[in-house]
Amino acid sequence: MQGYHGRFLEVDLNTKTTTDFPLSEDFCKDYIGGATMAAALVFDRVKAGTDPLAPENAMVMATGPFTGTSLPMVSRYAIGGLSPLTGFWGEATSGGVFPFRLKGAGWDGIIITGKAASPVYLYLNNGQAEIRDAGHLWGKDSYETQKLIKEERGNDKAGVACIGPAGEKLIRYACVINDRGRAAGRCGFGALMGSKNLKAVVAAGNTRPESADAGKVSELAKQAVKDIKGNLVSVALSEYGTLMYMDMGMVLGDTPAKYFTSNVFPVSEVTGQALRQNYTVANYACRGCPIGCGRELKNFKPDLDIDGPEYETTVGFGPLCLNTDFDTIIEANHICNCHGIDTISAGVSVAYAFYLYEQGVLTKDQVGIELNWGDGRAVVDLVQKIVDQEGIGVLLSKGVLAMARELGRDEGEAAQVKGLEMPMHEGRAFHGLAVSYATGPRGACHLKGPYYDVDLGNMVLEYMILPSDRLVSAGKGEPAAKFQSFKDLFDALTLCKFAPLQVPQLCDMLNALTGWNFGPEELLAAGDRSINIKRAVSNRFGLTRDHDILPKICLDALDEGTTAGVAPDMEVMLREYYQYRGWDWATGRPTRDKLVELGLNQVAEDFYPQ
Amino acid sequence: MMITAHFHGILTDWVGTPSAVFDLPAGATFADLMQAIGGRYRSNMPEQLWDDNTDSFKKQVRAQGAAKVYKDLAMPLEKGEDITFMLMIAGG
Repeated sequence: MQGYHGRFLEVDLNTKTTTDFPLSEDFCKDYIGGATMAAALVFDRVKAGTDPLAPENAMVMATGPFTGTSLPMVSRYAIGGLSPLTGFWGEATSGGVFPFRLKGAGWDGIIITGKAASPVYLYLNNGQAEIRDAGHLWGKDSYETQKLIKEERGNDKAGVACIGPAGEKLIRYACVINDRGRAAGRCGFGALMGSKNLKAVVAAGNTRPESADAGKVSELAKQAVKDIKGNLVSVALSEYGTLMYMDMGMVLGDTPAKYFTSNVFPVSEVTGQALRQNYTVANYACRGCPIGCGRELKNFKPDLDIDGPEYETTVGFGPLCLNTDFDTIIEANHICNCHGIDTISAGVSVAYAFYLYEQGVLTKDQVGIELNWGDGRAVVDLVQKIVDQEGIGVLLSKGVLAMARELGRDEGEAAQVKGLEMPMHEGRAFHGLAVSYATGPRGACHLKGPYYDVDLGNMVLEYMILPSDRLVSAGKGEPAAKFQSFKDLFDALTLCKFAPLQVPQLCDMLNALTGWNFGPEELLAAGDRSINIKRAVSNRFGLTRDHDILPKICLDALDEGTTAGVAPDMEVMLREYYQYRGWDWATGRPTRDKLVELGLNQVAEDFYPQ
Repeated sequence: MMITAHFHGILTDWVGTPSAVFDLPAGATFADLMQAIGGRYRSNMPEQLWDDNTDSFKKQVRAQGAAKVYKDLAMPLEKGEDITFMLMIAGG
């Protein structure tokens, strides 16, 4: 098989044994790679009722056919499994050098089950796998862990993906950190690693699968680099990082403020321009990326270079808490990176605490400090309490849905979908995004169907995904579903969401690597299959249509800003979405016919035994 | 007639000024304004921002007047109008 190593590494931490799991070409064609392949493996292995933090829960780290090739913007990997935060299908992706190394280690991915008796890390190098003691690393922060492992291995080029103390403490939105401050942030996979006593996965080597047509791959790579460099968004990302969007997001009403109760905020102090003006900023690029959207802040404090906050983090600790103090946003981000927690879930949970304080639900006695909107020091204090598991931080570390439940509040007040905290884009500003959030395979996710891209002019002609009035709901369900499938493929192939590549290019790339003959239709079908296998995992764990909703706090029309008075019509869009998907309106499950049409016969047999 | 152009967000950096006033002849169109902006500021801008074929901003830049969006280069300008240019790109 070309384009793949054709094998995963199976790691059983109970017995500290490793074995190869061969992949068939048909399996690769059906599930492509990355998060999609992870979902197929999890569906086969994780039984209904499994506790997400139980040794039986499998954690899959997967690359895709693009990873490690000469194509640009493809050094990415995905983690998949049952989410410790949501209890449903979860996935997270990250870029950097680690994914390139993971593929170079000689496997397409890893399936990890069991629990080690004491802390360990996994070391992979050119087809050799070792499980090594990590007792001396337990308790170390993510930066220190990466540094110590590289020193220990005598290999500065090794890729390290690790957890910080938050993962060890099983914080439900703990993440996995690689390449200094890059994060596979969402869904709590840091806690899953922590539950397995797995401190890190370390990858080295340069074993590469053969391509079907290496010359064509090289030609496509050159053209892709040219297209990326010629793209206006790439220039903006390169110069300002993802914070390039802050001004425009506020104008469009897309950037939430004051815990989703406003979208009006004096944004100029926390933009990409402000970051460049007030700090010494350097770009960070994932391997093979001509953009470099990551930020590094030099000498933030004497002799301290740290990773800069990107858009999501800045909004979460900034406008969402009415905080304009960039220093405190950067500090909160750094605490999250060191300890390894998701900045989106943390930011939303902190903002909810401010909201509850204003409502009189939380008091100074309970919190330990006053929580007045805009107090940046209070933001930092709360983040510190979360990672230290101190006082109110214990409650905030469970996420907003658990917070609402424990405090006896209306769940509509919890800014989340399926237990995953809302990202920093407003469904009220782009109605296609609202239905994407409600149906996202891992919960509220701006990366699976970022419909703002479409309505701002980035159409996908092959699938008739066309820009339209962003504040109109009718007619959005089907294109939103297609766009979700299309974007889901990026995490299968694996490809950065910022790569401005067209459908025919992606088909050509996949075909040149594998020798297959994918066209736009086959590609979309693979995206649809991906969404459905992930849905099936969640259905097995109790997901129904009742979970496909936006919380009231993110749905009620606001009374100011450019979206004032407008709320998405969820019922209209969901019915259109379900129609396209072939999902049963009563149960929220894919119908048998749809499953069979997509070749998901095992799921069909499980859900509809005959 | 005097037309004021405002450049929003990162366009301020890319054009090199937050706003500028242009003295255009009566009956001037949006194309004339674009030509004037290009003539004065084109050398500051990243090449990806400007469409040399149409001698205007790329399509991702929205030109918002007081009561209308300037989508067509042939559209006539209103005397004394303020037009805000915004970069309609998203991400993050």
